[in-house]
Amino acid sequence: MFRNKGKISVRQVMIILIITVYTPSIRFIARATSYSAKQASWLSPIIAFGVYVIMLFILNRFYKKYKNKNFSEVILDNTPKLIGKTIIVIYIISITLLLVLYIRYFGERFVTALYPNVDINIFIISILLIVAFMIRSGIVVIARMSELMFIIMTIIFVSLMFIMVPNVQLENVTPISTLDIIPVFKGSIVTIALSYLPFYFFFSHEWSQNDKFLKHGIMAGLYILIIEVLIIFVSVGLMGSTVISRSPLSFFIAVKNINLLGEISGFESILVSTWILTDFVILIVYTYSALNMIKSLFNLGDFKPFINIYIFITYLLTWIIAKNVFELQDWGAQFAVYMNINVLIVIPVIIFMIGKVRKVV
Amino acid sequence: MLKYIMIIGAISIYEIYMMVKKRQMKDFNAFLIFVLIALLASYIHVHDPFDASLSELLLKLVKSEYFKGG
Amino acid sequence: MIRTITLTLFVFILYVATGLETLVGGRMDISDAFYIATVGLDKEDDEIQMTIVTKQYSPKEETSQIAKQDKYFVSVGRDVFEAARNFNSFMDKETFWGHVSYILVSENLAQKDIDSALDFFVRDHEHKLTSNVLVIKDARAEEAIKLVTDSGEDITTKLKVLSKGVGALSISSELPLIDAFNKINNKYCSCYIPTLKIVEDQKDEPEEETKEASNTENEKTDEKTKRLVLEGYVFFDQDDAKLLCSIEGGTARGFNFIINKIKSGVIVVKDPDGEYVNLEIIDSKTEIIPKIEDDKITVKLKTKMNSNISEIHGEVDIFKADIIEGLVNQQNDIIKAEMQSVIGLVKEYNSDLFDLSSVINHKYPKKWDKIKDNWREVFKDIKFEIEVESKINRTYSIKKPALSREKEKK
Repeated sequence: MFRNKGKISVRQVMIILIITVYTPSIRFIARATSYSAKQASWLSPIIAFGVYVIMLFILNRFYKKYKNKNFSEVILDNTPKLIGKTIIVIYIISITLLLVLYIRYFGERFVTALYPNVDINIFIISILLIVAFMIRSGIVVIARMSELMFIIMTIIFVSLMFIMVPNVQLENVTPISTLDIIPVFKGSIVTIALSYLPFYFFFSHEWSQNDKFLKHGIMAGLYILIIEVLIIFVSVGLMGSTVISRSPLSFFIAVKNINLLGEISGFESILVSTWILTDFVILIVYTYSALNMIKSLFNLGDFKPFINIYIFITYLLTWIIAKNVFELQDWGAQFAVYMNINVLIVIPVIIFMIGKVRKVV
Repeated sequence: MLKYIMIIGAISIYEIYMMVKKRQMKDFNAFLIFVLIALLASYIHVHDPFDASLSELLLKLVKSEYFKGG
Repeated sequence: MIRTITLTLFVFILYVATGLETLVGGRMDISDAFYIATVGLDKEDDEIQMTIVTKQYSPKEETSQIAKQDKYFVSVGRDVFEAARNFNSFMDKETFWGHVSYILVSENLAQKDIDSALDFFVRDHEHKLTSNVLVIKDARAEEAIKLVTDSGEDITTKLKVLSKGVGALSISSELPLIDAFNKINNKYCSCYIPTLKIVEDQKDEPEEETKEASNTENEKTDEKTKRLVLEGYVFFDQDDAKLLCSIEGGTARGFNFIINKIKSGVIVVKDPDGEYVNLEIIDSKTEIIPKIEDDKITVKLKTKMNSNISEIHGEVDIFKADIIEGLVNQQNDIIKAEMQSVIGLVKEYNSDLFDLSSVINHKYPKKWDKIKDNWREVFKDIKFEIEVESKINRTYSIKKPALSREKEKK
């Protein structure tokens, strides 16, 4: 244990990855994939899994080669200083925009689904205050907390699936034919955009070293694949692709529709509780990652003085980013997805190729 | 606007005090940039100089379903 | 210390920043709420009239006589949401919509606006999507609610009982809100909604002597001669969701045969002497088998059904192979005729009443992709064929009829 003091294990990183993919998944992947792939949308995550595995091999090379260094150092090592710094700025902007999106959605979810008359600031400010407090305890505490939340999340998810899967109407998720290949690929764009692992490489100097990166990575990928397929399969199977593609909180309304033994309903409150927990993890990890990027960009001794001011800026951006939820949804679907693909897949692949040419990785 | 300036002021005083105390003044310039960004963001949030949100400005550059009109 | 002070200050400023308004609005005390269980929607000139039936769950009040009688309230608004909000202007408690079990829409409103009538219930966050939707035929929803509530009964319980009992005849069924919404959304098939109707019982004329005596009583119970019946369906056009037609009786059961919603039912056939034999439907399964040959679509409806003999009126021992076969043939013909009457409507309105589009899509996804844009045109030329294969499997405790006498051996 002493060996890894102050560091988190690769297993914990993967648990964080699963949680941070789970929370946007329950919010929108059923809607976004069924919009283009309709009844075949549940196949979309399989393509995303393929892309994820390729990314995993590339990131594994970075992990092996640059021991105890983070992704900012990898970027600066492989590119001229100015370009390297520009890339880090791009990463800071994108992760901030994404963070802002998640903060706003965190609040919007409550006022859409449960408390329409409540000031959204209550939810946003309270979660940001907790994030600001919690982030000072460091990544080790965050990772341990994530492990606990992972267990809660899994138990609740499995229980919900246990109730929902038997009610799936198979005609809603069939037929599958060659006609669905292109729609499934189109639908998979949003699932590919959730390959958040490169973001966590910005604090990879705080990961302990072992050779199980690939093994844990593939296991996490399989776990995410199963979760995503089930979320889409169950949502579309229960409600039909037309309704799901039109609902802003697709999985939520599928859960709302559960009626156990004809009497017991209201399971959505259980879902909301996991949502809060997992959303909290995503906000805290993104903030941590963003602060590490800032630290690398300005060569700071410590990022702690920047926590409050950074979180305050994200709070203001939460309001600047969109005037209403329709703008926010369009922003998520038309911009954030492509921004994610660029910073999470395209840039790491380019850096890897440069490294290959220079024979560094 | 005043309440945001007050919040930024409070954060800045506290953080600068901590920086001085911990002898980390080399990070002061970077901190100043963030204070300026925060001030700018509060100005944009309060006065809305572009009469549009960030997503509106960015989405008009791409093919947007929401902004292309009904 | 300084950190605590700063944080307290920070939290205080944020709190003030929200304007010291009531932070959490929309909270409702459980004892201050009316739990709406059934909603009725009518068209009132150009406005919507909403009738709500509430139920109180407070255990204290449950025991008192007043609480047992459900209350109903009426409100009018430009649309459903406004009518719903208008209740707050005169009701002494807040309304809670999370327990709505039945939404009754009058036929008059459903004529043109079924989509907008249901939109509020699907969209609003407080509603559950599992509430059942019913259309009131030839009457107002308020009338139906008043009829039951004024007789001291709870309409929600009544509707639950009717829904459970409907399986015995299989002439209607239940349809959750989300399924109705799904069907309205589907441009390839027509939406169906079960119907409720108010039936007036035929009363025998009383004898002269008793007529006068019972006169006053009769007046009082006059309302009770009407009752609610859950029977049949209405259909809505797949293009504009306007009311197409309605069915009941045998046709409604024929429709249930096609969409596999048969739970039980009675089929009456005749033995060789012309006496009635009652058959109880045990199960039924219809397969819709489309076939595309040279771009021509033929659809075979293949029904397999089992029944038991539940009542015999005559004296003939019908448990002979040839007699049973005769009964089976009669049974086949009855089911076939009921299903055929549905096909007649399908042809008359050129509308996909039983979601054939989905069946073709599943069997021929590629061909469906080509024809789906002209689905209504293609639909016109579809040929339907009905095949019924039924069985009479058994009778119950007694086999031979009561008056069946053993022939004396000579």
